[in-house]
Amino acid sequence: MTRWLRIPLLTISFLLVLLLAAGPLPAASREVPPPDQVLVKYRAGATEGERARARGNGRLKKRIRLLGVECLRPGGGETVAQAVARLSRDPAVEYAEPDYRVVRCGIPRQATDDPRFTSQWYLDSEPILTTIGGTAQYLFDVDMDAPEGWALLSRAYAETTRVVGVLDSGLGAAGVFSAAAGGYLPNLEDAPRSVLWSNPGETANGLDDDGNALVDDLNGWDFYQGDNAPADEPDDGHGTAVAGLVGAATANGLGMASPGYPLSGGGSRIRLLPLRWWSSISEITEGIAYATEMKQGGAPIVALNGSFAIAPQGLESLTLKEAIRSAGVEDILFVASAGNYDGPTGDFPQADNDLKPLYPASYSTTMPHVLAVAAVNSGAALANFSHYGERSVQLAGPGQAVLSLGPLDGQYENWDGTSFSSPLAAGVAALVMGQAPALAPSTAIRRLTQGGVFQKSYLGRLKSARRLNLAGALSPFYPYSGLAYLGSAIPLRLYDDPLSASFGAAVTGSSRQPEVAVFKDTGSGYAVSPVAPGLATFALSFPDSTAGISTLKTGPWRVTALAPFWGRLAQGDTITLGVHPSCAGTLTSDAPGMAAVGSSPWTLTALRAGATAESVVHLILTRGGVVVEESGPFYIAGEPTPDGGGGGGGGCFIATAAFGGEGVEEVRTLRAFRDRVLLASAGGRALVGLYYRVSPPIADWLRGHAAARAAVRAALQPVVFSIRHPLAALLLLLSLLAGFVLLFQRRARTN
Amino acid sequence: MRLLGLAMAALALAMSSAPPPEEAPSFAEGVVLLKFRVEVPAERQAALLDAEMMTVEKTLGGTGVLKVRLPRGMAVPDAVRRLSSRPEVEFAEPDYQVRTR
Repeated sequence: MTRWLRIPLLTISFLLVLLLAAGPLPAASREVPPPDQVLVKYRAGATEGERARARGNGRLKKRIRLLGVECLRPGGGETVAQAVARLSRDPAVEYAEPDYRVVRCGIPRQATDDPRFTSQWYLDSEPILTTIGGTAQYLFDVDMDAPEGWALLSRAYAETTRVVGVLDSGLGAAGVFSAAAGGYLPNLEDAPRSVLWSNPGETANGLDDDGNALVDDLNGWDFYQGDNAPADEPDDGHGTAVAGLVGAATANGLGMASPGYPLSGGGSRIRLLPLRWWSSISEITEGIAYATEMKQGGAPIVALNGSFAIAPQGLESLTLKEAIRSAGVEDILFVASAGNYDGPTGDFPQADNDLKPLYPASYSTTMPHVLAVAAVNSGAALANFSHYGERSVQLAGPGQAVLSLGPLDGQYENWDGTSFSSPLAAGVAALVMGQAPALAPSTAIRRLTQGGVFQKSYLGRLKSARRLNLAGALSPFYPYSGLAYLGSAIPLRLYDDPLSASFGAAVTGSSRQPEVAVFKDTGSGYAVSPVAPGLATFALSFPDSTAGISTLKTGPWRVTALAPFWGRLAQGDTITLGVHPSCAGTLTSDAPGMAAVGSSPWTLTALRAGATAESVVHLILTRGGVVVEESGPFYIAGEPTPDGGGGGGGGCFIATAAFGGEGVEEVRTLRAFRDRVLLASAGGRALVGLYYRVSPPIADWLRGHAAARAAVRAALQPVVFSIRHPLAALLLLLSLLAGFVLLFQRRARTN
Repeated sequence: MRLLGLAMAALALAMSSAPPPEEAPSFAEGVVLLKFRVEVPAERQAALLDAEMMTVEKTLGGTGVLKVRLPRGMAVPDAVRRLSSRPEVEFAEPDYQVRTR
């Protein structure tokens, strides 16, 4: 297709999308004002004089350099329609069209009147035009689609309130927080619809009414100071910001919004339970145990947010583990920050939690009720500080330049860190879990991950390769978006949980990009059927819905002609690639020095890593000089990656069993030796890998045999001594050798 | 023998030198977190703590973990080691410091 044909066709496609979008708009959606500007594209070679003549009385508003398009506001009484007609006749103009107002795919949206909402890009923002293969073709949202999700809540789902425990530095500066006034908290904006949970078993009378050993625990507890006012420090504010992101009062005409859209009759869907700690495991444990016991007593607590990490990375507390496990028994979801990288000599020096676990986030690999959340920025890329883990971090959420409450009344700040992505996930999870009391945390995690927005740059970094989306988490269909290989359809399934019950089984789907993928009714279900590489979104319609929702969005679906689309290779590895016959053309690597491509059959060979230990390569598939797709990331490791079980930071099984716990100094010494010395060399890694394969059963046996444990402890002491005092150990060894030599010589002389 | 003497002197010197720097987690001084095995009766727990001159500061909710105050002068790592070696103890660990953000 020539360039001249492509642009008008793109324009027509764009107009068709707009027409489609405008069709199913429900009456409740906002009025769309008519266009008041014109987009003009000049022919190549048009002079500035010809352009100025064409503009006439119109005022130049902006230029879109990428496309060579100008945006004009008609002047001199000329209407938009007249200007388009005049410009279309102008010989210097290739085309002119109204600057149509874009409607978000006709999906119902719930309005909110919180004045700070316009600064909350992470809840709702204008779509960004993105390109594939150099062609601008897809508008994508980086936000959480909060208004679309709220529309689902208000029309389709149950009106319930659920409680999220916020394990943090407190809520609102002292003096602002007033538990005695029934949880009135000015900077949480709305006293009549307080977002604080009130303990129904307690009254402000100086007595422990509910018999939980805490007096007047009306709205949470301060486990640091031991009182009922879990206030934040004016110069800290971490806890206040986190709490605001979970559930600041929304649609109340004040301040900011949060996932917690109110019930139709007023009152918050998400109630906050501040559980204040200051510095140590014991305080956090008490907070978790408090929430767990309150839930046992009937409190509707569905989730705990833990925006913290134990330093240094790799250190584990059995007490904290025990507490988190006990919360899981009560079906409390534990949402944990993935962690923030703080440099090679910092407390959290390994950004990949798969290689060195970070607790409590890394309990996501062993406890089904733990969700670890990384952070993305406003461009939807993983934040440069965010920890990640293909096995251990399930999801990402907005966590950079995220607006939330400050500790003082009326104060708002932008916050950075995975501390601020996890509370957004906790808030969304509370909405999901609020729909059905019996919804297990693992089901909520599945909804948050399957309902996330897929992005290829997350492949190999996040278990789901998706970022948090409020509408997606509440959608009755899954997955919400993903990766589709050309030639194989992706089934779209209705969840079998109670949330989906109100949606009709009959569904029709219209693709916004039918040239990329189409919706198919397979007779036994529904599927996304790929047509050509690219990105596609769908509008799903529910003709027999009892939920009052007629249209939902799903996508984006990335259709690819290359399989595998991404991967992880060690230096020297060669993999065979499948290229769909309809797209076979030229395949190149964007870093030919690191990875080479072969044809007949198509292969990818990892030659070497780049400047970093693990480097990233993309493949570019072109056909007839046009880029069909860019695949990847392919991660190239400089040396074979260590056995997963032998990664740093985990337990030294035998030593832990022998010494009785990971906190014992000897165990820490051995672990540090493993991480710093053994894992630094290929031979050492192989040794560690072997140890991790053989040691778990030995450790299990040791736990039941006290005498054997004592023997192993005695045997390990010289090893620990040698690690701590290597020079002394060497001299001691030499001394012993010298002693043996002298003894041997004396005996030889005697004989 | 002279060689052996020299080696011992060098050994003493080497031992007096500082150990290599190591990742040092920070923890609250004067307390440890302790969990007894479930089958250990309360009297046995109390007797063991008495013998160590340790006192229970609080129980951490329903976890069964005790926050135990150490006698003056007892270092946390020493206490953890002593308690961890007891068959009655499921685990003992420092009350580690935790970081936000």
